Amino acid sequence: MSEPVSELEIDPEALSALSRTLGARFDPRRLVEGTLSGAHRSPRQGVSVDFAQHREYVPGDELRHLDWRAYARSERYYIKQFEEDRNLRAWLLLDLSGSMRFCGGSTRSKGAYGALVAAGLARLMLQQGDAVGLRAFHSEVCTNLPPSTGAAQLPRFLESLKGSRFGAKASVGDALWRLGEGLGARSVVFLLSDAFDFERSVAEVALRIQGGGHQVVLLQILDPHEISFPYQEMTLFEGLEDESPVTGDPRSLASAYREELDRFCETLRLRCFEGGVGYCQLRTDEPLERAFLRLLGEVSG
Amino acid sequence: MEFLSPALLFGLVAVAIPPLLHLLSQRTPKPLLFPAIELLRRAQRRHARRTKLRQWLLISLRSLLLGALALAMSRPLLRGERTGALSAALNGEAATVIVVDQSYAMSYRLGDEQLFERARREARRLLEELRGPVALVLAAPEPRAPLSAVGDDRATLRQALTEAEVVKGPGALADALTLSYRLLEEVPPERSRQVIVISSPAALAAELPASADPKLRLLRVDVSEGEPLPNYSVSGLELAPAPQLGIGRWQLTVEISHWGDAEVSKLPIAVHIEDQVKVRGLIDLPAWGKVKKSFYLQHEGTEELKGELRLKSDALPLDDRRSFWLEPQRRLRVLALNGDPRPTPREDELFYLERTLAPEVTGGPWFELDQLPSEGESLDAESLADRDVIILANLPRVSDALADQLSDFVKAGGGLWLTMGSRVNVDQWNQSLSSLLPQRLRGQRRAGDASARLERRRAATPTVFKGDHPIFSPFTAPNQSTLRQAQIREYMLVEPSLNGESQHLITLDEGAPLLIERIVGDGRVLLLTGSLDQSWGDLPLRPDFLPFAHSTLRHLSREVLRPPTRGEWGRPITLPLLTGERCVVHSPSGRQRPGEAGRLFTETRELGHYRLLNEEKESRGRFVVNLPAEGARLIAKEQSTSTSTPTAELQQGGGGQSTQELWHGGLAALFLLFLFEGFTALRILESQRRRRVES
Repeated sequence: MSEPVSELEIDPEALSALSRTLGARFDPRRLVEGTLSGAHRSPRQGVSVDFAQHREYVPGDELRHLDWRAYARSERYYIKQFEEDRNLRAWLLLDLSGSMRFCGGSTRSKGAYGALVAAGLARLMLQQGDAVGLRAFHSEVCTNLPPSTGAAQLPRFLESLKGSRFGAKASVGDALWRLGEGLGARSVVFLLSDAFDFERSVAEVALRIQGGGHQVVLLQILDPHEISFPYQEMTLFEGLEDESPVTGDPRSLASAYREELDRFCETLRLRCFEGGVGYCQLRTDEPLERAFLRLLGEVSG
Repeated sequence: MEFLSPALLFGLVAVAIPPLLHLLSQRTPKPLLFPAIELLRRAQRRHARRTKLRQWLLISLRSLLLGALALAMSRPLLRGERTGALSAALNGEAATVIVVDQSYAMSYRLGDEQLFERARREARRLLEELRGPVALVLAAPEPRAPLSAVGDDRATLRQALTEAEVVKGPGALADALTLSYRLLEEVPPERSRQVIVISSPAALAAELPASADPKLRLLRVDVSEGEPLPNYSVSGLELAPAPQLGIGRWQLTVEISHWGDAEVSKLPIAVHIEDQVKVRGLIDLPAWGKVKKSFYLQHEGTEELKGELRLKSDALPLDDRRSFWLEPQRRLRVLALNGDPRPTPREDELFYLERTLAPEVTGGPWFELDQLPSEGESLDAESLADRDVIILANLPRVSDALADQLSDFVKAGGGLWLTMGSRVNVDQWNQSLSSLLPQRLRGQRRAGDASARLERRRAATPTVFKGDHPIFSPFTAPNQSTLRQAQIREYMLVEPSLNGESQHLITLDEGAPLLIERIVGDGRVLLLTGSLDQSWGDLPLRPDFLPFAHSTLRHLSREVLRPPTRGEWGRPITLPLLTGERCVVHSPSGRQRPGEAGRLFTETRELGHYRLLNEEKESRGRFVVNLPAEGARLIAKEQSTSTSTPTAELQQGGGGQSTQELWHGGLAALFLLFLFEGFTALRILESQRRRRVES
């Protein structure tokens, strides 16, 4: 299972083009908030030029934060609050377990597509001066690039991606459980995976990481054939992580399978929503730019 | 339960097709790597049972569908208990002869089954059910009994029944019954006796020979079981030359008979010559009626052609066709003995006849006229060979030797035309040609009143024509032809006919005959009391003399005199050969049998065209064998009132059993199953589609 992720045709030009298209609008924090739908706003207001909100004055507040203009209009004391303005620290956790090798209805495997999304995110965040790190994993961490800023980080990031290898049998949940403990300071954590762990739910692990003070966004990557299940002939389905095979007539199984997949994804999405974890489903046949626009909530539906 | 088409029960094997297809499609699943295997496993666990149930329901329905189809096509039949006279016949210990009609009419198809199959099945059932000794007679033209006496060897009889086939011959129930009575004569008198005849309604309704034993019971079993058996057939065919339409033309007149209650309209009919359609037509047949139709055919070649009249096939196709030979129009070889030859052509006795028969006038070399100046002396054999007609034109006398030659010639089928003139010696003619002359000559007569001034008063004209005679076939109304205007100045008076052998074909206005015919042996003699030149009248100058001369010569020729030989299946035939001639008869299938003039030829069990060839492979004649027309009638119009003898009883429908065909029910079940299968399949598809849309 030492197959490299890429064949990763991460074309620097394509990344630059992506950055040109999205650069002005891309804000990972907004991404996090947007995905959280306002459930958890950052609790820390600090000294910044970015106005956050007004609140009623209570004794003890610093007078320099009083909004005198508001007082002139309403004759009531309001305190102006500002958002803390500091550099973002982001981890990109890329699942390279056996199931991510699947390449059915697209030209890219799920792993390759995940790597491409990761590279795109890294390019955009590094462009804004944020620190970006990478951890690719299957049963264990196979690539670890600590977060850093600067122009040199992107080549390192891409090299690390290219050097990553798919693993075989792996429990994504278990691996993430271990991995989440060493992420260090508060970060935005992008988790790129198909989330196919039926023993330890990836949503639960994401919640645990979120509980450690991080902002987690789960990007579930699926192949079109996993969604549509277009098979016709009698088939022996073999797993990519040494699961016991299943024989069946796809035509009769299709609707039941799609029901199961819908239920699985819906459960995942609901758990993430309840725990404040961002969630977005990506298809490997979806163009990268369109996927990012959707990620940013700019694509309706 | 019985099946009218048991062979189709093999179709039940098709019941295994749906499950086999299902199992075969499951045998070699294609391997595929798939990540969400756990979801698939859950889906299978949740839905496998329901899906399998539906699948097997669908497979079972499809199997049932095929099974019901096979069952319905094999036409199941439920028979009740036998009733009536046949039931009584079966219950006793009587000695029985079963007569099964094998005639071609039994090949009539009812549905997908021949009447003979029904008869065979009925006979088998009787063999099983009869308790006493039994015999079997197969009613072919030569009835056959597999066992020479009534006995208990049913195995032999069953075997004979299995091997029996319909023959292409007429029915012979009467002969078969006679044989049956003979078989029963050997049965001890204390045992009762009976004959059961299995046949079609019309054959059973015919009068059958009664037994000398008044106690013998005759039972008739109608295999049609009351179902209608409409049929039409070619019941007659006549082919005759049609010289009025030109040389080489034939008139084919056919008669089609129809036995059925419903009229048949626009029935296709066609004449095939050498297997190619030459003429087509449509005819309307009235119920229980006959229709005649004529076709005109042309044959300008020199070889005889195989012809066949065909109707569109009905349930009994054997009688829907009839064969014939289309003969070539022969080139007539005419020998004219000129008693008054002249150096100036126009004055010659045969000048006009020669012009009349010239190829440029007849449209081809249809007449070969040889002239011999003659004073009545005998002819050499070469001159007489292969002549069709001999003309004695104004011959002064006829020697005895010539008279004998002419007599033999006419009796063998030749034609003799005697024409008068001033050179004819009446006494000598009367003496030497007494056996040939239609009427004795009396003497030359000048027509009209000799003292009359007007020319027309000094001539007689033909006024009475025997219009229905073949000689006048070229004319629609001979008394309106230009022959009527002929001026006959002189003619030969004849003595009255005493024996009535002659007939007057043309009579002059003075009452004297101008043309007289007499049949002698196989040939004909015509006496023209006028002359062939202008010396006694202007008959040869009339335009209609030309067709008149042609038709007269054709009528006299032996070819027209001799009707075509036709045979019927299985009946002996006299071969159309000359005395002492031998040949090989080639049957339609190519079999060869020796034939001889004067001996009956019996190998006529093939329908179609036969050829007679001599040792040099030269054609010596031909004939056709067709089916007799009388056997084509299967149902009597007055069927309901059976003409059976007092001891005979007619059994309708499976020999007195109540029968109920179940295949209608099978078809209904098939239809319901089809609906249910479609409904189930649609529901499965719909639920799959709905889930897909929802997902």
